[in-house]
Amino acid sequence: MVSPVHQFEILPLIPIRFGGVDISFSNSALFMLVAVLAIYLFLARGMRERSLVPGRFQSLVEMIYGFVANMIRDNVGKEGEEYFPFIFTLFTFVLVGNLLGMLPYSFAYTSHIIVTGALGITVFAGVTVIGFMRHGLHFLRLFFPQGAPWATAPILIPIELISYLSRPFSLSVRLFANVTVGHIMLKVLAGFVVSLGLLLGVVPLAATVGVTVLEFGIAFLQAYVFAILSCIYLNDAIHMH
Amino acid sequence: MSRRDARDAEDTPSPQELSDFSIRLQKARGTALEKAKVGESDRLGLALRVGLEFIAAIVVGGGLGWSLDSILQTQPLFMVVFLVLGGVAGTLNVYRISQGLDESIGLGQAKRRKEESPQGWRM
Repeated sequence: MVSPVHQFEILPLIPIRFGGVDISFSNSALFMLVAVLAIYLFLARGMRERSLVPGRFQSLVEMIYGFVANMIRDNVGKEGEEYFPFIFTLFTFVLVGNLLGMLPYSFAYTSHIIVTGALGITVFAGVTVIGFMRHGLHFLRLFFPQGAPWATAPILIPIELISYLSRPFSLSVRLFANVTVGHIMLKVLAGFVVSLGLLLGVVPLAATVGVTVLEFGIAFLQAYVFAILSCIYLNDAIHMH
Repeated sequence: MSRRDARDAEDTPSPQELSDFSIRLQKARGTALEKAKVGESDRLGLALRVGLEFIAAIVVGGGLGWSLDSILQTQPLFMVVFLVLGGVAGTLNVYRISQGLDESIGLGQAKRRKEESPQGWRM
């Protein structure tokens, strides 16, 4: 039987080497491409009719749009609207990546820390740049609580800085760990079905079905958490107190 | 009343029914929101998050110290110092989550923000 982590293996589909660096088109890249195409086709199909009374696809598209727009309005406010395209892209990319990973024989690219880490660092760097653009060097004042004695600065500032730098780490690890653990759990449980045979195998089979439902929930929840945390960080950088 | 009239009455609700409906809808929405805020799985998620945030700060601190050391050739001075600072930052992260102060950068800003709006986002 294949090992439970075999499903996360990166396979180069089209080997490409550029200047000594391996930039092969892998299965991970393929599924990212599939996700982007799927999102694009879904949005284009949904908005094709542009009817006043939406059909099935248009309702779905409008629902997702409204969901993200509300999330930004509630967490960032009016100034956050200009960042809607970014948050929407982030949310749909993570969500579709999680959902694609639930299909048998597919590959969940959100199960790789390099992917979620790149997303997390992008959010973090973007938010930091926005903070500096809006408030200038005043932004640095956040790392030192007002009213604290100056002598404590050499300790307090590094601590706050590390606490701040740990955000992209926990943001990306949360998504990566949830997806990876879920997929390993499914594989292990499904493996029990084979080894326990026809009669006893019913028990792990039922568990597999249950965990699959749970995984779909987690796919949505983690995409939501990723997007809403990005909104909260954005709010922080825009509205400094 | 003919059958046709009765059916018409069913199809087009009176203003009274409509306002009743919006009240019921608001009630249902309110309870759904409250349930979503303090669910059993929510608390499990919070517990997992506390652990992750604690470890994240230690890892980031250790990583920072290690890279500073390898740049300045001062092994293991900065790694030791930053591991300790990372542990402190991790404890600070846990404290902030437990106090609901984790939405903002910097403890000072988080406290000011909480005084303004005590109900923040929890996850």
